[in-house]
Amino acid sequence: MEQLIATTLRTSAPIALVALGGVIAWRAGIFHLGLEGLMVIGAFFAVAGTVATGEVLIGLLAAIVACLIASALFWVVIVPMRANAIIAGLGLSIIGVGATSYLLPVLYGKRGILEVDQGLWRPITGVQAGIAGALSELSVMVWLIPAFVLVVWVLVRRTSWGLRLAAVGEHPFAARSAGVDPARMRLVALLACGVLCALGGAALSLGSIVAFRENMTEGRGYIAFTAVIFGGGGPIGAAVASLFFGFAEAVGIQTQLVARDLPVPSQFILMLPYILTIVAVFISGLAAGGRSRLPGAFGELRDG
Amino acid sequence: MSSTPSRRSRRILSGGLTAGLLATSLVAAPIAAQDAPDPMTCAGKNVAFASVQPRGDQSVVDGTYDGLERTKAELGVANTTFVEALDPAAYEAVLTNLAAAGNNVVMGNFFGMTEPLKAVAPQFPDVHFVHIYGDPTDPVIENLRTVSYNYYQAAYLAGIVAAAVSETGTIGFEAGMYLPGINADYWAFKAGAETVNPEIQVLAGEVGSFSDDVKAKEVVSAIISQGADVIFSDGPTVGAIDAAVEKGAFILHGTPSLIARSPEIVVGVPLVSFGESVFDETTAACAEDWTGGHQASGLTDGAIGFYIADEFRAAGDPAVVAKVDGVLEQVEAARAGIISGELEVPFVTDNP
Amino acid sequence: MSARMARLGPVGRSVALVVASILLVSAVLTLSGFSVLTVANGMWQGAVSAPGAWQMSFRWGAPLFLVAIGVAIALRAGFFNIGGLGQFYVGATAALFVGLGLPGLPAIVVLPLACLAAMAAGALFAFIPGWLRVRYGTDEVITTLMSNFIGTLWLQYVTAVLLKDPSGTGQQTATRPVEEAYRIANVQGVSPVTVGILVAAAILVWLLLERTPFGITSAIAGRNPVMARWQGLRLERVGLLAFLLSGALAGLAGAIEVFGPQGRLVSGFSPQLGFTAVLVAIVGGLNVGGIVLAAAFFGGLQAALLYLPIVTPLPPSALDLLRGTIALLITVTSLSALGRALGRRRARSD
Repeated sequence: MEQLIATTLRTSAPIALVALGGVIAWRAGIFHLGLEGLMVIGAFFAVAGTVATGEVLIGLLAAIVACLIASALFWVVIVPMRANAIIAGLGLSIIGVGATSYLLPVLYGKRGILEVDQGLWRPITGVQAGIAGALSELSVMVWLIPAFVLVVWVLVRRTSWGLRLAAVGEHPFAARSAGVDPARMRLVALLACGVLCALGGAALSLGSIVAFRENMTEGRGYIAFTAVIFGGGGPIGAAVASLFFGFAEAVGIQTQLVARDLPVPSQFILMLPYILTIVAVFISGLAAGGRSRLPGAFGELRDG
Repeated sequence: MSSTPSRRSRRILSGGLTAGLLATSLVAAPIAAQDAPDPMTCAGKNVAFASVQPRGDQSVVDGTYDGLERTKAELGVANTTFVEALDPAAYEAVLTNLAAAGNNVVMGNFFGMTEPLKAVAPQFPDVHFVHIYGDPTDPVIENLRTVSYNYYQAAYLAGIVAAAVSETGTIGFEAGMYLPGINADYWAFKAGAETVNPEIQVLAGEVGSFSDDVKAKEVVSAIISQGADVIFSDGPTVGAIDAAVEKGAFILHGTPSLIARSPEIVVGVPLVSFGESVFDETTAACAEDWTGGHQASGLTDGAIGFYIADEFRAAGDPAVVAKVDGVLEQVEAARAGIISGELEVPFVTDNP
Repeated sequence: MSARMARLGPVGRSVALVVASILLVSAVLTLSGFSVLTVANGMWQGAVSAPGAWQMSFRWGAPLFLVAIGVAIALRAGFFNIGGLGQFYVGATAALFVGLGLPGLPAIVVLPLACLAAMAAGALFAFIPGWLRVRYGTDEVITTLMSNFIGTLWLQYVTAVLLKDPSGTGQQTATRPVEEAYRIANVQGVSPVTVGILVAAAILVWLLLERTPFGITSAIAGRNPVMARWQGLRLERVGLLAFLLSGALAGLAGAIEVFGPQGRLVSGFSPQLGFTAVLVAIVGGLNVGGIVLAAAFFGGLQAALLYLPIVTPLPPSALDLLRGTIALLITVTSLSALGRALGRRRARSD
């Protein structure tokens, strides 16, 4: 039980951070499939920065700077140069995984893994037993998730910037006539998204196994993207959806161990999260009224 | 020229067996069937290796790469090419490219290469092919040598130590995926453990990947939280070690370069040393009188090994070290039995 | 679209952007100490000039072409089917079931049956996201993305359990091979039968898109669904048909793999196929002719990737950089807007 909670939280935290970034992009009308790439870039530079300086905070900073640069480039391609955001986003993801794998041998002369001797700070220490013991394994990033959710929620729902952002996403033409520059709003949104992806990547590489491994995101960025849609495009929904994915993984692991005589091949158990996602997207689509295409879903940004 | 096997034995054994055990193993190490050729025959030749898994695992593939590189320095091989053939649909194409590019020796690894090697080798009769970790072909192909490794036998020995160390009566097995070869390790591990404690519980967990250390950490954490206190890692190792350290469990893994990460918990090292094999097979394949056929490598010739690391002896809790030492005699008896053929380790490829 | 890019035409635009991507990645390789000339020479040899090289380019281009025209059919109707990989795997396994399940029958019976089974399975696998999309508005990008993971696990189940090859010590995760008599090509993949299937598929899809009501309707629906609805077009039916065709073509590609170059199935083969096929469809401008050229290019790239390690110890991820950069840039439609944006900034700072 304790382990179920710990696994759920530790698995969902990086996904939730990236999904919060995805929410901001989403509200600006961008269907962001580059989250995977940004996440792996964040994971790599968090470790690289920590290795270079011995300071975890500098590692985090390096991750943020790298993701800001990548996000700005992505903006240049999809906004001024009007590339299709879905294709370009997939491209960003491939580049992110490829570039970090490429940098390992080029910078460090090694393949596969970059180890680091310290990870993120863990707030609970000195307990072994029970629930507190399980929670003591969690990094500060996990504990900060509610704060991040709150900040993003306030930002998109309670500030005039959030209103303008939604206007850009939903009615870019109207936004422009109201004096809002959609291109500029999208740049800011993508940069904010980049910061959150950097933290999500760091939560993975410095908060879980304390090392960077080639392609260590293993599709978690796409899961985060799914959480954005699953959660209906809002920060709370995205966080809950991320929690659900973490929970599904934790349950999947526990099921293997507890229900050992299950007459179901392991491949079918591993399929469950993906099938559940399809079901969830189906239901949330129905709840949202369905039928109409999601904003920016075809990857063509509308700017009026 | 018996220097090759003895060097290999040394490396396996340098892990810290006592002098008496060393003697046992040396006595019980009859040398590979063929005569070692004159190393000079490799001079100026080209050797290529197609690996179905990428480098960077700190383990079997990196070892393979090191073994290949060593042939340049020590055997005078002119050129070595190491190719990561990561798409199973492309194995034949990669082997064909390597053979057509003028390599004298072309090697491939693991079971996925079985059919591709069978298809490509006859097309290049002048090239010597070697299959590292593969089944024998029937009929024998003249220019294809297959080498099998009975890693599950090392898992059996690991099971003995795991059961001896366990206080809870429950031990764990981390599988990258439930593939037949991995499953065989599970059943052997369990059988070994049952010789010490017939009531022992073995919990198996599948990660679903051989590279996702993040998920591996969660899987192993779950196994430990279900009561297992010793883990055999047959999947992503970094994540497994991390979980064991955090939860205070012991671990058996075959990645010497990762022992230093947590020497105090590594109660045993079930090892397969492909690097030595690649080096030896290259040496053999350079010879004119080399022929195809099969070699079953294993505990006998030291390609598979199981040892207790010096680092663990130095850093481990003396009480646990004593427990491990307490079953070493049994481990060595089993090792000798396996080598002599008196002890047959069950080979089962069903899912756990 | 800016005037300058428009003047290039769609073909020129694709070529220009691919060349730009190649130049960018070349710069990265040079900066990290690799000789671009050596790499380029190795790629040329691997894709074209070395013995058997062009056959290899064809071998990798063939499945890309089939999956990509499927992607194009769906995209022209306004749907993003990125589930090509899953549909390809499911099709391949269906073909293999027929190939192994009817022993002794002549190839002329088994092969068409297997191809039909593969197309039906691929279509069925695409039907689910397609139906959810047109009937309930469930976003197809996500459902098809998820279906890839499901198809991959299904293939693993078939290769490791259902049709596993029990030979040797039984440690392979590959299926039993199909009979030699059923093989339509050797490992090089070029044979009259495979070429014939590809040419037939190309002609049929071209006719479908350019000369039938379906093609016209789907083009209108894809460009302007509101207008199409006003004109009384049955978008559901057109959309669903596009999904089915898309899945069927991917399934057919799977059947060709089974009876052609592979002769069996191995867990996790061609993992990049689905994504690369989307690129091929877009680089090819969603036209059959363009997709032929784009598939040839990406097939050549794949052949070159396999040959390259013989020439230079380049990390394999370098080719991911190239593929990713092409994806990032290929849909760029406007350079002058970039110029304008920069100009505006300059004007503002003045």
